[in-house]
Amino acid sequence: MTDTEEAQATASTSTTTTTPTEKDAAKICVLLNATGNVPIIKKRTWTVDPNKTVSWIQKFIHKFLKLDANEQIFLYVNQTFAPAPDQIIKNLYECHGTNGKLVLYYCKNQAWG
Amino acid sequence: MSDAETHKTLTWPEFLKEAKQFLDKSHELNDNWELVEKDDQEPNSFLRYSQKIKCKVSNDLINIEYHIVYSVSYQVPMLYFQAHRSDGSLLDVEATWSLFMPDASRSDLYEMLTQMEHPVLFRPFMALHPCRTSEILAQFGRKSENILITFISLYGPYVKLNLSNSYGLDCSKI
Repeated sequence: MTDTEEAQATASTSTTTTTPTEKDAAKICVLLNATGNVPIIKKRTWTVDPNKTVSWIQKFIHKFLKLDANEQIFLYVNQTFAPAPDQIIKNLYECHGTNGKLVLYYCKNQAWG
Repeated sequence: MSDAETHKTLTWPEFLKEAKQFLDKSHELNDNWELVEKDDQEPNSFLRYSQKIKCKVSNDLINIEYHIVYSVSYQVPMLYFQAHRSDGSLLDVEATWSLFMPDASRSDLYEMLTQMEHPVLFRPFMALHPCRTSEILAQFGRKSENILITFISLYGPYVKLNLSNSYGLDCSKI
């Protein structure tokens, strides 16, 4: 009886301790690099939920840098390709991830006008 | 900063070369881009792609044809497109706008979308404004491996033209 209780107790503690690490492990490490005239972000590596979209990161940077509403953040990989905004980070990582990291470049501009 | 750093423009031979490179990449990925060549005059060749999408509001099936045409005045690629319903009727500016960006405001519409004459076909087409394109293309730090991939992947998503992730893979191999 006591054994099982102990077992349960350890099991419950182990689950509570493993869940956050599992969550962290499931997250994807993203390296953000600034290009052009955009302000840099001091913290370059971020962990991101794999199911978040590209546009979510764009909105995040926009908010983080407190940009004007008419300025837009563009994200791209490999100096060439800007992934579609509804693309999820997991797919992007599978396609463009290197050394366990997804390297993203960002720049800002007014797109129109 | 010099003009070359803040603006990225293309010459017509460069555009043609990049277009052909892009086309090879598309064939490699079994995508359906085509190069339409009317004759060998500037700017009478353009890239064409068409797809069908479902309109969320009216549930119509919309067929859209996209053209990437070289703009002689701006010296950048321009995105032209035409959308029609399955009964053949064309979508006007308002209908196109509500198809792509139902939430954005009216003033945004006139800033980015216009109906204008297609420079090769001389028919009315919808076009995305090119006036900031050269600035945006110049922002891409190092030199882009294929400026058309960059251009299409930047502007395409505004009009539901999403390139597959594989276009971003090592372009130097093509």
